[in-house]
Amino acid sequence: MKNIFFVLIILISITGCKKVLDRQPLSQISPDNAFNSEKELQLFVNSFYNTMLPNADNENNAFTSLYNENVDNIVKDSYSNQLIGNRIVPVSGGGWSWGNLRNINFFLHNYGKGGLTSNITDPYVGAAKFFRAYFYFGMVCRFGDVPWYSTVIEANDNDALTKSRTPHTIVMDSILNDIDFAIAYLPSTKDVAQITKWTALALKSRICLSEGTFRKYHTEFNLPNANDFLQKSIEAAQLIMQPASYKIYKTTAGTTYRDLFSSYSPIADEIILARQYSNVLQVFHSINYYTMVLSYGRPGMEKSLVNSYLMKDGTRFTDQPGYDTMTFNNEMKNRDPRLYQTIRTPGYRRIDGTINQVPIFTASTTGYQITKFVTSTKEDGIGKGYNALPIFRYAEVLLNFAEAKAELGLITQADIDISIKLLRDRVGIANMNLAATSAHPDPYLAKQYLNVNGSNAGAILEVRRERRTELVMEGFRWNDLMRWKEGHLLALQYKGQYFPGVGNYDLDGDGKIDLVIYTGTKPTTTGVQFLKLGNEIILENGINGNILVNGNIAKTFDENKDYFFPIPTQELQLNPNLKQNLHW
Amino acid sequence: MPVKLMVVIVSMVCLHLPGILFSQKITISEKNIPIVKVLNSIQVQSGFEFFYDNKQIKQAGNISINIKEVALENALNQLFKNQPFTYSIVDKTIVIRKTETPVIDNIKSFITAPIIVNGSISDQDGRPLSGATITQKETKNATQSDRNGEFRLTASLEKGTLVISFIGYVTQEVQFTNEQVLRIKLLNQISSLNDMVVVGYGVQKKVDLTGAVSKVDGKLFMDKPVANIAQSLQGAVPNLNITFNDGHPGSAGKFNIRGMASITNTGGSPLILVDGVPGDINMINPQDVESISVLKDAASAAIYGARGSFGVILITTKQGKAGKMEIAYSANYGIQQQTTRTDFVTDGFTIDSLVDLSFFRHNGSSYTKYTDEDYAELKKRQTDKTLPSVVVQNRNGVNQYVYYGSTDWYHWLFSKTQPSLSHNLSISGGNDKITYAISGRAFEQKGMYRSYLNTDVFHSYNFRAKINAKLSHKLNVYTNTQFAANDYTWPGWGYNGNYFNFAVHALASYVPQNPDGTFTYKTNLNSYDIGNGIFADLQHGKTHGGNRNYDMSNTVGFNYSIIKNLVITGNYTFELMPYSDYQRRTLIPYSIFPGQTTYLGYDQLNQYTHIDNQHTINLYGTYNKSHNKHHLKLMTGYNQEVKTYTFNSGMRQNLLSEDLNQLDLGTGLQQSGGNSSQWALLGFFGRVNYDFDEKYLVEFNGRYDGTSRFRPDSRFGFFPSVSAGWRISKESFFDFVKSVVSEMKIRASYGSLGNQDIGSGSGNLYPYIPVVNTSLTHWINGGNQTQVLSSPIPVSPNFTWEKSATVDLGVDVNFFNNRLQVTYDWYQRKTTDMLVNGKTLPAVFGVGSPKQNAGDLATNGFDFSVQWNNRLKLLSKDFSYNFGIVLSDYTAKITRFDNPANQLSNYYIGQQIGEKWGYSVDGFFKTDAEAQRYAVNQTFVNKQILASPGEWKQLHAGDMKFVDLNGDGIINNGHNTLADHGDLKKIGNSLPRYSFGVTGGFNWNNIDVSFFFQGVGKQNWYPGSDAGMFWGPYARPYFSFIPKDMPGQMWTPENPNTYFPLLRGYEAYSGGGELQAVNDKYLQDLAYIRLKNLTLGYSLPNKLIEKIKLQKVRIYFSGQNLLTFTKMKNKYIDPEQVASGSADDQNGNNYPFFKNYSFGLNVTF
Repeated sequence: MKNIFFVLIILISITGCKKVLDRQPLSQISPDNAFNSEKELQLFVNSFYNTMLPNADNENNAFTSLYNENVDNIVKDSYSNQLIGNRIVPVSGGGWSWGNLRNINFFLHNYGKGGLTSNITDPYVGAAKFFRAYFYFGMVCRFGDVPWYSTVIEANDNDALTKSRTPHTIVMDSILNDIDFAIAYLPSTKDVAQITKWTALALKSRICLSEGTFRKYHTEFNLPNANDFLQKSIEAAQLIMQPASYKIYKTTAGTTYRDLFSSYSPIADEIILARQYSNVLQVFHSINYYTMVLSYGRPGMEKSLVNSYLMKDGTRFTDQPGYDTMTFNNEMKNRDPRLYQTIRTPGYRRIDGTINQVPIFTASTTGYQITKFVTSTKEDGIGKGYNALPIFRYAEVLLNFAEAKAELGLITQADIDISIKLLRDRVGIANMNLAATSAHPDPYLAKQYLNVNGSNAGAILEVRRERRTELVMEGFRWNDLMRWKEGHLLALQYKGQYFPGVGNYDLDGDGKIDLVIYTGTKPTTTGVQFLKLGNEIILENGINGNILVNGNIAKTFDENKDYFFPIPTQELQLNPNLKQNLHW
Repeated sequence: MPVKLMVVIVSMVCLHLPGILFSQKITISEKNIPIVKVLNSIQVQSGFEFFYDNKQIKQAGNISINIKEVALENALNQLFKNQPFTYSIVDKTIVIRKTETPVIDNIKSFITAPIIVNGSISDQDGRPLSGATITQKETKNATQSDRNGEFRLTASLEKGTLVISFIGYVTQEVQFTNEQVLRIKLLNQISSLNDMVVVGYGVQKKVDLTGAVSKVDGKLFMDKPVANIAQSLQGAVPNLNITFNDGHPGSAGKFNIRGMASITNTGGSPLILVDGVPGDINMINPQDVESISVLKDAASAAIYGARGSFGVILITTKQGKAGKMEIAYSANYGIQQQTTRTDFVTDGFTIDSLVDLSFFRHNGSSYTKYTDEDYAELKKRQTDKTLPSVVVQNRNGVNQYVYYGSTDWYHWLFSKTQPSLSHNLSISGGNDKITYAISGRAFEQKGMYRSYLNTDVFHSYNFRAKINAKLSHKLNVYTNTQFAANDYTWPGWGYNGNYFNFAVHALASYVPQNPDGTFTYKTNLNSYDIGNGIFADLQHGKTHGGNRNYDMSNTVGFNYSIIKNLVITGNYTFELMPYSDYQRRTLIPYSIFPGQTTYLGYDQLNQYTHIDNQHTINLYGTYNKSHNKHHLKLMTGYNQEVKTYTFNSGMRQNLLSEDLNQLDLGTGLQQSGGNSSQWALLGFFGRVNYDFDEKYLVEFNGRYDGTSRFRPDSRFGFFPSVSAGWRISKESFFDFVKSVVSEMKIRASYGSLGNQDIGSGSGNLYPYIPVVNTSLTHWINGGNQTQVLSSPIPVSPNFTWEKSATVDLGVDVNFFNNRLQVTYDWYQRKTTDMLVNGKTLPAVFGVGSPKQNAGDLATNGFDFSVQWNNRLKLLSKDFSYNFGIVLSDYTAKITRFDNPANQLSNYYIGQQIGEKWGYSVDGFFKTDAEAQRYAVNQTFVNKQILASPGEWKQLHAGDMKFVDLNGDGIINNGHNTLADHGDLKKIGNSLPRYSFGVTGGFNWNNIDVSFFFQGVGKQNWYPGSDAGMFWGPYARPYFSFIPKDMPGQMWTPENPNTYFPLLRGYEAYSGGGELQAVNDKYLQDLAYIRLKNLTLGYSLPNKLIEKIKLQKVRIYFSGQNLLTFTKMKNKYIDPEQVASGSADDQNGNNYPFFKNYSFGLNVTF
């Protein structure tokens, strides 16, 4: 008996052993089973959103962060290397990251495996192509020409791995193909959390404007058809503008612009796509903290931007006599109300506040302390903010439309009335007068934008003013400067508020001293801010002038190379067909 | 053809299955036949072997016998009834001896009454020894001690000498007289050549070993106040490397044998088997250990095939012995204390000045925002301790707390000493049919948090029961049941998670509580959070976490002697390993403004439950055959294991109670998750041992292994090994040196092993199956975070086993009658086809390159041990003493890797594992002029300085001067390749070198003393960017714990000969800082030697304790980590704290290490 028992055990073991070793994953599915239903397509497409769309606290990449616009709009107490001409060629990384593309191409290669019909799959393919266009647009802006891949690269596919750059025009046409597919097949129901036909159109207007102006101003690359792209930008914008799906959010003139950015859920009238945060889910950003504490770089609005906000009546602040020696309280009188809803100005109160608050100089390099996006005091801690942050909004579309028209020299007063006027009406500022602007281009802006000339220069400059003020902190500025070929603006000395010298300052005109600038021993008054001249505050002329921000930091911008980022050295070693950007 | 081969191997077992089964009774009916034939018949029926002298047995002549169904002993009694022979049964052998009856004794027995000598035999510790042979020297009368160690010998003389002998003990001669009751203690033989060593699926005599195997006796684990085996085993075996991530109560060790075996599994955990089945070494009661064998070379480990490539540790637990029931109880009470200094700067004025100075030089502003007046207040409190440390002031129109404290945060948090307590009880015994051993332990170790913060505490409970039953002479069945549980609970966010938060923003000028008893969290002057809120949280006392591990395993098995010399062993083990963690957080109240309480954080409970189980089957047969001087041993068998992991987690927010911790109480957000995975292994293995006269030894091992981790066509592998030994000392030509060199053996082995363990993450359990990744993202849609699927990690189509081949050359030499024993092994392990991420692919590939069999690694090293044991008389008492050293070392080098450009960012051929590249620093600039005129461009390493405000953007006297090694006028890392590495050079290596242990001790007159030093000869560490106790304000300006001796080590014009440069904040913390650039000036050598253990014991004299019916009573002192000497230039971080190489270790912000003073008691009933 017993030996039979043994034999049995052995037999069972032998016959069983093959099966014993057959272990399949229990908690994961294989690619072959991942595309069987529409739900699965949706789940896969979801993966593009989180990693590809800009986030709040992403400081690495000036044009993908959602509020940390550390270019020449918002000045912090230190500069990233690309702002001061100090970029070096990295060994690896440096934005040359292609993981997102792999994920998209994997989807595009496999979505059909489940045998779903094209009327089910098309919207998801459209979304994937939207993201591929979005990806390549980012790469082109950053690196210039890049290799185009439309399939997943295998580890042993040497040809693909060592591909050289694809010609710029081909990449851009491919991007357009993708975005046109997306426009054709994405759903047309508005949705602030998902890519729709409208998002795709907004992206198309953004990409085409960018490409059109890039080709126009970067003549060194001899790229053709700039106007075609500008025209396409206009057409895309018009497709959003005509059915009036979206409108400029307008409630009370004094708070409506502020509320658009401090709302916890995106305002769907105007917001096309937004990144949402949640107190319940504990997904937060730190906007309040960023604008109010001393250790987050002390962001402040740059003086030239403050200057370019118009007067409320539509005239230029910089045409005012003595504008450049006005102290804070005076310079803030009768300005574009957006300024009051973007920085702390006299009479400023927190959203839930009951007392007036003046700018805190230890929290703001320039004395123009940011309030755009700032919410209730409850969210002041680090990682406590949860208001939604727009990624695409209708105002940008209108500005894209106006800019493309202006660049083409086709802009009319009627065009302005359906675009810029809407933005100005919202806050109650006088409309732009095209004829007057064209007759008398703003000399202050003309001194900044050196490449703008010709008969439509006045219109272009005004559109750029409008874009800079309306979209400040929304992440457009870096790319705008690059495509306009105005990188030299990065090399300027950044400034802040004007002070005629030591003394006591009533910043908000309420009759009480708010700030004391002193030399020698500190006065003993209480309840005010003290700044020791030459130490805690440095003025342009030593004893007076505008606040000099980071005067010690030398800045340069190399017109020959700094419009693009360098490709990491490791990549050049690994792929001999890949050549570095010029002069790097 | 895997299946065919299996059949062949298994049928080797089957062929030896007997046709009939043994009966328990003997039946013989023969007339007038030679006695030898009768013996043969009994042998066949009983399975017992006879042992006799052929010549003698012939004297018995022919006999007649007629027995039916009688027990073996009766049969033998009848057989020898009228014969001049006696027999004795030893194990499974029946020894037949001629009865010696000297004539004179026969006569004497008639004329005098028989003299009976009574006595008992025990070992050194007073435990009875059964089976010792007691022979009267004069008469050769002999007997054996019974299971209580007692004997009764019929002597033929009134006086005489008894010779007591027993294997493993020194043979003793004792004089006796007629009226004496003898109590004889046998001493352990210093070195018994017959020592048995547990090896894979069997035991071998130590002298017969041909592989590299180290054995540790269970005694090592006695009397030590340790939570687990690892804490005692560290340093005891050459090249068994044990490290600890931190020193929290119950901290589990990480094991490694002979260094890095593979870059995919850099830890290289060996296979650990407990009583032959996989088990968790950290869950075993150290007192249960009988012995530990460490199989180091491929030949010894090859029997474990696919899992032996990092070596094998075999733990054997204690077994019951036939004899009187023995009850042993021991208890131990210990006090522990940190090994490092804990005196930090606690003066508010000093620390705030440092913080503000370093902060200002980095970004031009003040950290504390304290005014000159505030500083004046702080200064006053340096001398006048009566001034309040918290004042309420109106600033900027608001009443707020302002702090002028001098808080010793470290000692506010942590107690100076922590107690531990353990109780052990074991009961063992049995008879010749059943033996049993039952043991239990309770251990408690308190952690370092002060009691008002809810001390962390570790508990461990162990229970084991082993029962062995001889159902017949052939069949033996046993069970081995283990239950172990341990739990550890801590206050705050996590025992190590708290540490980083402690380490920042808690300036000495701040205090834990406001005058009204509310907790502090921040001031209204700046925006920083004191300890990120952890101090307020700990005082609130509602945030806590814990983990709980269980290990339940049961083995049932049998040994079955099928025929002579063939034993089949089988066992099945089921092990259940549930473990769970929880973490509760609550809202934390704090106050900045008098009368206002605000809340921080969130209220959340997380619970994680893992239920893992494992099935293990072993079945193997062992066959022995000896013929003359030829000895042959065959073993073959089958092993199968399946392990399943299951995990569930739940989270709820906003619980209804702060004190109750159950998910059902949650009213807010809830989340859940779970997953499961499996692996399976099976293998057929075999071993052949052959020796001639125990002089020439050879062994073959092989294993044919299959794993679920690889695709079916590459699932199986065959892993053979061979080893041989030559005992030169057995050769006749060796005799002339025998008086000096008593034993000498040389050994050589070679084996090839596979490694299927490429990590335990679920991605590594199914590495050949591409799976779609699933995750939850931060993108919010419709009020929920979106679930996503994303592209699989690419899988290389054709990978298979990683292999390792080891050559081992060893020599064992004993001198001076085995008193001095030396063992040396040299080895080289070549790991080939390592499953590594292949060559660096261009980034356009999109992900890291897939795993391929693309790397080779060579590890070289040696193990050395020397041991001196001796015994002599000191003041007419036995004095035995020992002294030993173990030493080991290894280095590992990459010999194949696809990195043609030799980028330093990846492995490259020729790379010494662990090598550290860094810059050279030539001290500090002496003057500002020298600094600013320095002809070498330091921009690359001075980015922080260049971005500093005002005058601090320039280099100053006291800043670091980097050496332009390649003379190109600029300090940088070139292309970061081997060919062009700029000014980098190899400055050190982070792997430990020359690990050693030194042991010694003596026994004299009931006093025992032993010591154990352990250490590492060389190991480099470059302090991490958050190593606050090393860098202080040079990293984050606001580190809480600044070593007391640090301010004096900061460069100033008045004090230029210091260790640290000019004080600048963030230089060690952020990229582009001069201290973050790894350099030779601040590279540390972690070399250390520590008195790991010192034990002093005293056993009460036997005479005393016999009266109270005890066998043994001993009291002892045992100290752990009593002394430490290190080359590291920092007395606040324990060298072991940063040595283990894990990522969070690099900063030393982990639970510290401890020394322990303990007292204990052993009692044996």
